[in-house]
Amino acid sequence: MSALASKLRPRPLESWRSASSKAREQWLLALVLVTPALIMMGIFVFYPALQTIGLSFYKWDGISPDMGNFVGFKTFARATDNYPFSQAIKNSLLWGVVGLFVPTIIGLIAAALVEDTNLRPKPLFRFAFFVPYFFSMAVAAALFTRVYDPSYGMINQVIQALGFTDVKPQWLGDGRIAIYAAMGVFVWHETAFCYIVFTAAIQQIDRSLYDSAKVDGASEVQVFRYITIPSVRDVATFVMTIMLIVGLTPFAVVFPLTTPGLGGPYYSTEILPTLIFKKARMGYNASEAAALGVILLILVIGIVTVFLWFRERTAPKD
Amino acid sequence: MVNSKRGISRREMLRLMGVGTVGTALGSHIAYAQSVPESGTFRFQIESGPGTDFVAVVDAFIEEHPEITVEFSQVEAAVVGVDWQRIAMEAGAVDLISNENPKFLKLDPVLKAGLIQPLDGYRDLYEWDDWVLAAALRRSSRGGQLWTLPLYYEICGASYRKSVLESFDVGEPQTWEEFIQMLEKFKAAGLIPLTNGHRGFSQIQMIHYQFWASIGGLSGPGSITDVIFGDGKFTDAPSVEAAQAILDIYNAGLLDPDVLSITQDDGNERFISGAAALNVTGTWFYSEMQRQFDDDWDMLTMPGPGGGPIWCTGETEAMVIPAAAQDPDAAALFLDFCVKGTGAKILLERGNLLATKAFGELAIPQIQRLPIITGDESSLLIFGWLPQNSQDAYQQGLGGILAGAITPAQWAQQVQDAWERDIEDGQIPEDRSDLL
Repeated sequence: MSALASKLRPRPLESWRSASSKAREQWLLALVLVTPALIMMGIFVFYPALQTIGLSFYKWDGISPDMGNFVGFKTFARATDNYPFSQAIKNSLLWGVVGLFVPTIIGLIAAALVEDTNLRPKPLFRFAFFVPYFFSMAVAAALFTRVYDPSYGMINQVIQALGFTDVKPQWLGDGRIAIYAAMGVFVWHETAFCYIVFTAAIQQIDRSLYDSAKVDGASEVQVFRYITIPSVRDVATFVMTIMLIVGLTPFAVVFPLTTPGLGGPYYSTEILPTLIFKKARMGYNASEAAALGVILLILVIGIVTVFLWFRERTAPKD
Repeated sequence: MVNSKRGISRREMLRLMGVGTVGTALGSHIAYAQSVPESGTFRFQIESGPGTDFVAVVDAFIEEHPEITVEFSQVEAAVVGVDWQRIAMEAGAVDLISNENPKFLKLDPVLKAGLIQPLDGYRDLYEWDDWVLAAALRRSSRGGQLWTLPLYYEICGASYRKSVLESFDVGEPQTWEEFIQMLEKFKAAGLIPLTNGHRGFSQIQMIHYQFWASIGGLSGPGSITDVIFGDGKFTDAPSVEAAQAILDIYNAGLLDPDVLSITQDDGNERFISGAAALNVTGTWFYSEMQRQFDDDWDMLTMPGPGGGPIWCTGETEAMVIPAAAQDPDAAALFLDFCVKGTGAKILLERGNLLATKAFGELAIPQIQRLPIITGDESSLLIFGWLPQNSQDAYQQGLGGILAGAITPAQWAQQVQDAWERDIEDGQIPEDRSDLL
């Protein structure tokens, strides 16, 4: 079991009677410390989540004062029996895979390159890799609508300048590549987050390990493979978990790139959050939006749980 | 001030209307006693685009009616979200608000939720029937009651520079063949023949309305009117043929090759810069063209295969008085100011196409020729008549046709399925014949 998982594993609760007064004090202190957070989460996370689950079994337009009729799972059947939904599920899973691996791997390699090699000046590279995170995701996406412009955008201008005058990709207009264009913005932005976390982790590694490896004749690749990666494994689990969750819900990227024809062209960038938005905010169909929200919740919890289980199972033995 | 609104709660209103059934609601009659106010204050909210025109209108109103106080605010809809009007009405934050249009997408949801009050008393009091176009009043009514008052009309078409058409020795096309010949001349000269933005809000649908109106005619089987208000289907031949015609001009390089990637604003820029000869837009773009080109501009409606040019029109800037309004009388006085008072004149002078007959002789020539002024018949501008499912299928699918993802027939079937689904969900009144 990894060190982090070991620390995070809940310990068996001593009975209150048999606990020492010091242990009781610790429990009370813990309770006092977590109570405000629990109250806030109760109000802003758990209560709305439960309300959403309840709403998904009713037929309600979202604006009528009365909640409408209880219809059971009919809302789920209606919300899922259409092409935009199947497209949204497919795209959401693809986003999850990309979110899980691409920014994490690029961020890790970039951090290792800057911290473990003689690349100079390091502060400049650190700044350069972290710059995308200065922008919010939505602002970054809005900026990229100009970058992706087929006639005047930077990317196609570069392609033309390189002599490929017949090549003019419709980055946001071609359904075959629009989702990858959106993912490009996501990766550009989230790699910065991964980079900074991995940088902090790499800086904590005992430098004598690197020195010993070099004395033993290890190459840079071998140092990265056998020292850096195992040393940041727990941090990588944290980063990948965050990236997986963010990757499954990339509304902040898709919305500015495609709104108000949200999820276009022709549903090629449709994801569950855009469908939810359209049902709830544009379509006066709060129940179907709630049903899709529940499906998204189950999807995210399910995939993240499987991922963490897999990481736990494949963790090196102590 | 005579504040004469009889108090009515949303729950009362809902009970009267019947939960979730507009049709049931429409039979009920809610009593409001309306009168001309001696003093008062009303809170007026509108989207920032048309809101700029209303700054002058509000100023003129305050000058003419110093006894009335106006609390005027503009909203950036792109920032606050698509349902900002509903939120303002629910919160009781306004006495008068522009609810965009009197169609299924915008009017029926707030009516179903009991958020607005009928305007029939004011209609009689101020004799709006003598001033406002009959069709605008009819389409703003449900169950025999008037629920909103559209101040403008909007008409879509293809804008052009008069000098450009003259330089190519072409006039406004009257047939599909003439239209294609004109586009080919533009293309041969290196211009983008017809620009249009699909990303974001798709304007391809406006090409479709125009071709469909041209092919299907003003009424009868297969017409737009027959589908929206009658028993017609999106899968009827004229609708499918119109979609096929868009694909044909796209494949022939006569439609902007970047259409799927660019927005309406991008299309406007291409037209204004001279890169594009024609730009699919509407009367909402008139003031900008007047500013850019003085009088060297106009707009045509595009004929489809086998048909002539037919304009597509729609009511817009439809004002509603919320059920929770504190001073509806003052709000209605302002509405009347925009129907036949100085407000109407100001709005007209700014290039708007009014839904009222007042001051029609003052309109600019580009407005004078439009069917609202001439009295000619016109087809429907569809936007707003389609609720979310249908609108999404309609917009996304037109892009899908050009991208090669679906055929025009498949697109039509998807829109029809979504339309039927919206009817089942109660988003569209089952009987729509009284809106004709």
